[in-house]
Amino acid sequence: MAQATLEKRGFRNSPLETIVDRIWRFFCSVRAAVVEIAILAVLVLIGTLRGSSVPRWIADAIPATEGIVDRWYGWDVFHSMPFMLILAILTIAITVCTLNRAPGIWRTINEPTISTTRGFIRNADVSANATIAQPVESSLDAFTTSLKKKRYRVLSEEHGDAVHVYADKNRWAKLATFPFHLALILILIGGIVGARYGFKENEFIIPEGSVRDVGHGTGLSVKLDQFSDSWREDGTAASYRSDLVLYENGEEVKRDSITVNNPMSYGTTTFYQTSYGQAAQMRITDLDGNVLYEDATELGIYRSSTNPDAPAGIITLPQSNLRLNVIAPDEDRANAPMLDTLNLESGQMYVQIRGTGPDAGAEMQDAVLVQGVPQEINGIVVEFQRETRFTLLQVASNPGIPIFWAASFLLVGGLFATFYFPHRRIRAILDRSGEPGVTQIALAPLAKRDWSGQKDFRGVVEDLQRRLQTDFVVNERASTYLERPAKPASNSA
Amino acid sequence: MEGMVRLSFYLFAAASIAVAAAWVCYMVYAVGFIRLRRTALATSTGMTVTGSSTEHVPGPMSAARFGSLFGWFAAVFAGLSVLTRAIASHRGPYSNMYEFSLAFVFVLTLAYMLFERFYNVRQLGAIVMTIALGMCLYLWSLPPRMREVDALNPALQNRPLMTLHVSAAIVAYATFAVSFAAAILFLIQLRKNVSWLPSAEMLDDIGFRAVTIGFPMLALVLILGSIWAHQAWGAYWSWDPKETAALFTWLVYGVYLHTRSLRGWRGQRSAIILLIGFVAVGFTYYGNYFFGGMHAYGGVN
Amino acid sequence: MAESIDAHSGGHVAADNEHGDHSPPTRRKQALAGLGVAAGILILAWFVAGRAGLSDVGKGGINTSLLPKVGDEAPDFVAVSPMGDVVHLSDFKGQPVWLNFWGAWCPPCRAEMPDIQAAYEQLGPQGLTLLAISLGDKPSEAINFAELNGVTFDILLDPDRSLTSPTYPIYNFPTHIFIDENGIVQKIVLAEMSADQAIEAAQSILPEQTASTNTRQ
Repeated sequence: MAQATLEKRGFRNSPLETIVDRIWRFFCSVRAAVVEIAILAVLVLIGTLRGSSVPRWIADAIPATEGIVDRWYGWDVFHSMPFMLILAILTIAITVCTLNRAPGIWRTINEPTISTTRGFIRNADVSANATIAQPVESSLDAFTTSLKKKRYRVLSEEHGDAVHVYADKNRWAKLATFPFHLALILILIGGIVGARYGFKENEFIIPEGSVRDVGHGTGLSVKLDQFSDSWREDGTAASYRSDLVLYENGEEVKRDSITVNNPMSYGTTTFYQTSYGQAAQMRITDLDGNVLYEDATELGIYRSSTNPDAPAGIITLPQSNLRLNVIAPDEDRANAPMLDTLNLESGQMYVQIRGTGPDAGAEMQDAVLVQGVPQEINGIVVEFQRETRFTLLQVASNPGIPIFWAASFLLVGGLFATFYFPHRRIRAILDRSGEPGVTQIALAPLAKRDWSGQKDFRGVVEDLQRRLQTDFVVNERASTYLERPAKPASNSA
Repeated sequence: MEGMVRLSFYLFAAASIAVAAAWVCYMVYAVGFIRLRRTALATSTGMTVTGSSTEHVPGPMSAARFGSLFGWFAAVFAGLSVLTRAIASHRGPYSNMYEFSLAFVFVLTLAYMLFERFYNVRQLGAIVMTIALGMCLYLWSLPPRMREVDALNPALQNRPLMTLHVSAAIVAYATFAVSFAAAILFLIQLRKNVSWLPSAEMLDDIGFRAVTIGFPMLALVLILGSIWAHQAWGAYWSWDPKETAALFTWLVYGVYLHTRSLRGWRGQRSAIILLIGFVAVGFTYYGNYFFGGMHAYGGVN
Repeated sequence: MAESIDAHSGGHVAADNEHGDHSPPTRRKQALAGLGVAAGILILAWFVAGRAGLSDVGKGGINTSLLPKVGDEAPDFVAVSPMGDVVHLSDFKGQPVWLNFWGAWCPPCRAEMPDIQAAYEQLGPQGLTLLAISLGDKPSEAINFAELNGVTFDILLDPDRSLTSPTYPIYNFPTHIFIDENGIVQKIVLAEMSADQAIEAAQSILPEQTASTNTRQ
């Protein structure tokens, strides 16, 4: 399994061929795979610890490591070159390994070598033999029935005076390694597809009653009818819900409520409930009463530099070269007075007006707006109508998702098949060379250092013993882990 | 449902006592044999201590049998405790560290008892029950507030998926704990060739078998976690520290599985990787204490 | 439980004999011993759990009981009117009462106020009483905010939250409690409501005939 067995062709002396050969062998090698996975694991560990307080502890314990720890926190491992590189190498290794192993595994399943040697059986960790008072044919029949009862496939071959038997079960599970390793590659492909052809808006904000465009060429826009957060009597959150209306090129196409864990999908675009906050419904006109702005503006996305405790929002009026900073009363009154000289009360908003574009730097007024009272400032009339709420959604389109789901299925299915249905193999020789009408049988599992495989084999032998009413001699070799020459033996083998 | 929560706590107390008793018995078993082996080596010059030496010493053997008895009781009581709590909460044990660890004690003791039965060896008990006892002490050290069943915050309101996700995690961690115990004994066996321990082959096999259960389970944990993250946040993988810690653990066991087909690695080096793997499990398990991120509210406080 | 010991011990009889146990006890003895051990554990657990506060376990979390329950009689409370009069909930006995616990410091409550007013404009003429109890506000600020929103229902004040908390411990803002004319709690809403939702919720406490003329259900 470990090493590639390339056919040695006539032109193998060409230097290019030698290099290709070496590279191929490198990628096939399990030893290399172990090193690659280990490197990946170490990088994942470094990246994981970066998100924890562990490096800080190290720096606190050993001040000399301060510099390294700072660089550690600064290094985005999972998007770094070495990480990509090891993933690429592993992908190649998996591909090459799979191509390399496939024919061998296919042969093991479909055309296994049936003939064996007495030496193999003798040298097996465990083996059994018996003399059966039946001719080979009927012994073979009984042997076959016994194994088939245990879901073994039995293949036999005549070799002179002897019949060689090869029996195995769960052979198809050997193939499961392919979907599993394929799944690993598919997950990477899914990730690449998602990153290349999808999009993700992490902070898609819609105030109640407002419509916002999704963009990214989708032609979609979303309206928030209502945001509702419900709670339990002990003050813990019960649910966050947004009632959404979806428009495609201006036409209503869908109307749905989303909560955390229950997103809404349309085509490839999905909307996820993430967060929420407060908003202010504002109406701005010029002096002639023409509406310049009538919408809700979200608060809390910005913080006022003069009062970081107060949620703030920004309205831009490009046609008037103006920008309005809207600042709400403090969230925590007890914490505010030092910074907040305005002492805003509920039902008030503080508005700072700033010039933009050609008017940047112009002298402008600020004002405290009272709810429901239009006020003229700097040639515009601004009204704070009421407070509302906004919802914060994630909007994502990820065409890699189906690939990821397929990969997940293959990955988990492949692993369970591989490990829960181990391939068991038994070889046997039924010999008729002794007395006529008597069979000498010797059998052994292919289960070197495989205790479970040997246990399974013992079960087969017991069953055989019952069925043939013949005593079998089971031979065991002493522990192969312990048979080291230099070891002073305290145990009689 | 108040009564069910209370009953669950009472059964947890019973499970803790059973775990402690099992631990004492398995320890007596281990220490008794170590002592006997010493005296046997010291007093007898020609006599070697082999597996049959137990014929003369029923003491430690019956201690081990009581260990098994208490071990089964621990599994039963912890299982009933998890069950009654699930009846009260209508979901799996995933809202705080108390219920998660309680379920872990259940699955750990049960998994160990099943391995003990299947392999007919009781020597791993001393190590596994030490872990179980440690978990029980940890559970008692948690704030009593966590013994209450809390309502779920919106992000965790995905009962079937979260229950599966966490159950798979518990099975994976429990089987990794068994493989850890087997690896320790394997390494001892390799150096000292202790007669009362199971054969190196069997210990190696226990370690491997346990990983073959745990490794696919941990893969399932990662996948179910991704599905949940996808539904809740729209991103199936966010490089969240607890995600990557679980990935790290999975990769370590991936290395282990590959080394088993490597000449010169199988045996001692594989066993050492199992030890590293279990340290990673511990790190992932208690990751909430080190990390922020999405699993932070997994309920340390 | 007894079965599990039994099966377990049975499974190991052979192994133990290999190790030369002198006199393997009978199965019945084993089962009895197992039961005895189980009983011992359970009795010991009773003391251990009892010392650790077993009787208190189970009252928190989902079993926490703070607000009156739907179907129960609404307990009385006292608050102060803007004029400084002491007002009891029991003063409104015989009327359907909608309690709104809010605060001018609470953004969702502020956002909701115009909707509450809109709902009240429709429900007030049908005989519904709305008491909006401001908790934790400076009285002047609460009254000013209500005036800015053109509120026509009764505002009550509990500036340090000490008056209502003995019977109505409020952890959510806003909290809405709907009480019918018999003083029975019919509905509790722990969320901000739109005018339509508020009207729909209030149907549960309005007298039948008016409810049917103005139903939205």
